[in-house]
Amino acid sequence: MENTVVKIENLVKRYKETLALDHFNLEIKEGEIFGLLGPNGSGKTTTMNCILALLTYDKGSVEVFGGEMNPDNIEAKRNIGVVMQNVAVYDELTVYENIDYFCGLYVKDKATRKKYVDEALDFVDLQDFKKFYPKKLSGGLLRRLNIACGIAHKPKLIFLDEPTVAVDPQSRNKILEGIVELNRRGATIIYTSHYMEEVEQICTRIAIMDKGKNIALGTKDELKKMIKNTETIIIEAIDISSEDKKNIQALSHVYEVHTEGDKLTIKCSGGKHNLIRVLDYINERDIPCGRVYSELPTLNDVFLEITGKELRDKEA
Amino acid sequence: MQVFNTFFKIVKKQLPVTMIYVGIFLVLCVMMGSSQRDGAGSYTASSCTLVIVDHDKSEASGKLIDYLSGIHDVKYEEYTDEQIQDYLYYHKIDYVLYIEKDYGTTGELTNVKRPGTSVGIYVDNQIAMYEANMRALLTAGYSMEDAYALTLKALDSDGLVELSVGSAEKPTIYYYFSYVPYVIIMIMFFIITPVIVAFNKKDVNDRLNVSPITLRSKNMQIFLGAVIISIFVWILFIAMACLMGYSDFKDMLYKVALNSLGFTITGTAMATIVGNFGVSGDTKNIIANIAGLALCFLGGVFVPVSMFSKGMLAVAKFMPTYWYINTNDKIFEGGSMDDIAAGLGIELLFALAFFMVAAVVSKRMRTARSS
Amino acid sequence: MKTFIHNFKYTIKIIIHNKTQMMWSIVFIIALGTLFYASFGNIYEKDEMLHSIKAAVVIDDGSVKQNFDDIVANISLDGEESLLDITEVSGMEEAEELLADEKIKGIFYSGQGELKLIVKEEGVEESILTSITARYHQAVTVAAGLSKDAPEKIPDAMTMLLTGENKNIEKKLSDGNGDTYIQYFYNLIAMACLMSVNAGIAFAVGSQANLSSIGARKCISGAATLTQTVSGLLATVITQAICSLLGLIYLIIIGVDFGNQAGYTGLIILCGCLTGTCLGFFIGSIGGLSRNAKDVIGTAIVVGTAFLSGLMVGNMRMVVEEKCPVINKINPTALIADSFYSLEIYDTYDRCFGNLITLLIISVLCVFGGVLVGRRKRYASI
Repeated sequence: MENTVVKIENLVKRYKETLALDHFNLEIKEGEIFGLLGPNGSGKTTTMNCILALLTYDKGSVEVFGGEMNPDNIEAKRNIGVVMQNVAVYDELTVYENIDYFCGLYVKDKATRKKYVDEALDFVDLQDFKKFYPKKLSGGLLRRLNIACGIAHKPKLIFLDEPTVAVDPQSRNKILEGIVELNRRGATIIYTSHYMEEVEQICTRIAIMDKGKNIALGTKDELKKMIKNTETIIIEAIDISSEDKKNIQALSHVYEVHTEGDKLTIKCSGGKHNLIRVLDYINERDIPCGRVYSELPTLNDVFLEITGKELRDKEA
Repeated sequence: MQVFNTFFKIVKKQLPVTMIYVGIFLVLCVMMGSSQRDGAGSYTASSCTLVIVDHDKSEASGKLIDYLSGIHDVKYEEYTDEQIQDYLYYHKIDYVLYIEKDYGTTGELTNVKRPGTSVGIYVDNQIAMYEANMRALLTAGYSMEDAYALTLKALDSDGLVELSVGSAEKPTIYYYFSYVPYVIIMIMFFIITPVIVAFNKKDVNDRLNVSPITLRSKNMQIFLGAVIISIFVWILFIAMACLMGYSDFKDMLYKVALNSLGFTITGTAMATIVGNFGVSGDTKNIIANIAGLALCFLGGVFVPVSMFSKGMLAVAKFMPTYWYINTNDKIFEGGSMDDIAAGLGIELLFALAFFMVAAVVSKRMRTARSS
Repeated sequence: MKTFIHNFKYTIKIIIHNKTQMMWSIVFIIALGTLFYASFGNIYEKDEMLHSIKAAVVIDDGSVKQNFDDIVANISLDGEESLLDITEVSGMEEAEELLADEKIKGIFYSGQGELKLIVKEEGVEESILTSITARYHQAVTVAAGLSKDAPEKIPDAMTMLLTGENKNIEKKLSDGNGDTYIQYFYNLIAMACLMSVNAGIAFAVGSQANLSSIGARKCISGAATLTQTVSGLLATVITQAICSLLGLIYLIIIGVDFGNQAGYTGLIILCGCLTGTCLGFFIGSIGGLSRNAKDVIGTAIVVGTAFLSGLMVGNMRMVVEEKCPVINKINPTALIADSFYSLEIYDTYDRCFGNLITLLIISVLCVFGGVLVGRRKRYASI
């Protein structure tokens, strides 16, 4: 029986007139990598700060490790690690000193702490930079340092708030691999992001948030099954007549067809071999086209169907 | 005039903090000015605060006390040694006189004063003259009453001393304007410097550098913006002065206004130099305090230049504050525009020089950042 | 305890790394101290310690001149230097010009058989010149009086007037440095100590989740808030005190006399920096105020207390003592400066320790206040 690590019931939080959390409920089990996915302003960071007892809230309750979470709960705090959205390190200390300092707020024994700090440096692959000052590090390396400072003390529960923002692809992959490794070593992870690819890649269970509400909850497969769309077929560089479009729409399991310039998008719900059916039709009619490919639905599709909006703003 | 407009946008954003700084220093200036005592008007010998302790209580001691209380402000408290040290040090009292027992016969007195000071010797002198006079007359056979009456006549120096023409007591508003340099320097450092620092932040600066705005144009627009802000602050100071005592300086209002405006612009120019160095936060606060206090002490704002040695006086002349105070003194002594024109001109030259330095610093910092 | 030492050690490292900040704290004392020393390190000599007073003499009347010369010859400064430094002039016009330019303090001249004096201001030196005029008048009046009643007593009387034995003996209460301009140096060090209010504000802000990310990290850490606060504050106080001490050492090297009680002087500085830092901590902990607003309050306190203590206007502390003495009893800058003064002038430590205790009380109240106010722990928004 998995233990519940975090339990949120009926949480309501207002910032003046804005309702940031609207009767929010959540339960996170031990050993999960739990993703909180949602657009900017959906309440992800607010949820995290409420769990950490940094923010006041108007209604509801928050429990961590089975006990009420409040600022005086030092026992709970010792087992929590946080990687904040903003890099929170001292410019005046080296990489090593930063990790040592923050680890020292949890781990009193010097020998143990030294071991943990060295392991954290290995984990984020910053051994070569341990004597560098933060100002000399690139964005990606800074983020890695930020992570090291948050996890060095080997916490049982780790919060990561958008840890890959403005990070190069190499560092990003490193970070994601590291998170999975932490989980493999026994930590429960709560991961907030508006990058669905990351969440899909590593999270065992996902909650999609919008306007302070939990609008969908489950594994990625469960979430995808919630929506109509099971397959999207895209044909590029195609010149197709309205009649052909109608005919394709009439194929089985196809529920939506639209063109955008010379790109044709076909949405299917359920069924097998949808791509073969479409290709057969195109060959039969001898319609010239470019690349043809099929995509499985993404969490963005889930979000789009439920809310009518994109997960990410157009410019992101 | 994009830079100019942006300058004011930044100022607008910092307006609440700006107004608080201006308010604080304005109040400080008023307090400084009001703390100096208004002049008495007519000439009297320096009246000191004396403490007399009479252990003799004879006719002779009574006469001595009568004499001294006619000249000085006399207290009859018996203070402890600690209190005496304290009050003397802080100029609360100037002299303590103990009239010893049997003074009538022996003439013995004890005094405590600030060692080797003019005040101490002055009172010593007066007591010595009184003693000598009384003794001489008593020895010559006069009665106590007659000796005292003739002594009073002998020691009455009314009409013997006059003030030269042109000596006049300075009103409180004179002191207000005397302390203006300190508060102006502080205000400009606190409100102008941060705005200029904002312009010199790396990202903003880079954006400006790749735009078609030349460095010269950028600097001109910033300086113009700074001067306009400083004029607003200056108007507030003049308005406060008018509230404090318009009648005391209405005849010289335009001269005083010109002099203070000249220094305000100079203070602004100093603040832009520091801003171009990108100094902010606590470092800026410390530099502001150093600049304000140093220029004011060296220039004769807090300590009169008449106290300076020759060497220090030579150094003082390189301070814009010196010329401001010099001009201010001349204005309140009734000087004409011709008398004060030179001082005003020098202040404005300082302002020009500081602005040029600020421009050079701006160019150097830009080169340093891009290398 | 381990967490305390750990946080203490790292706070010191963080502060020391900010070399610019520390350097300017020391430069403040060095720059202004040097200036003070150069400007009026000699003023005590020039002003308070007595020197010959410059004056011009334009006496046409022969008998008046003779009597005047006799009297002046008998007035000396401690038996050696003459009290008057006579400036030669060609006539009244030149004398009046010198007086207007303040090159002389007064002009002696004769009128209606009397010695008269013109001065420009009402200072103490002018009053001494007046007393010379008075002496002349005294001698002439006594002689005139005696000539009617006892003319044979005139020579003895004149002798007694001019050369009588001085029975007014001075009693010295202390060997301490009576130089009142030393107050400027005391106030300078005191202001430098109070400037640690900025460090206190920075520390408080850096510990608050709603004002800095590092503050958020520290708030959710496994270390107790009180441990982090006390250790951090202590580290801040010590680094600030070291800066002030270095400045003080410089002043002593250049020749400013702070007495010979190094231990107690160091203690005063430590208490001063403690008060400044704790005051800053309290201000920095107040929620609802932006960082800028807190800096404004810090500046107002540093400059305001320095002004009320007499750094800018020398007699300000006495003015405050007359008008509102309670301010001097709680003004930290005044308390620090007064502690230096008491240490120098008095033989006992009562007053000095009294001031230090007041500073300690202020510090403790500020820390409690800061912890209480900042203890809301949860924020309405971050």
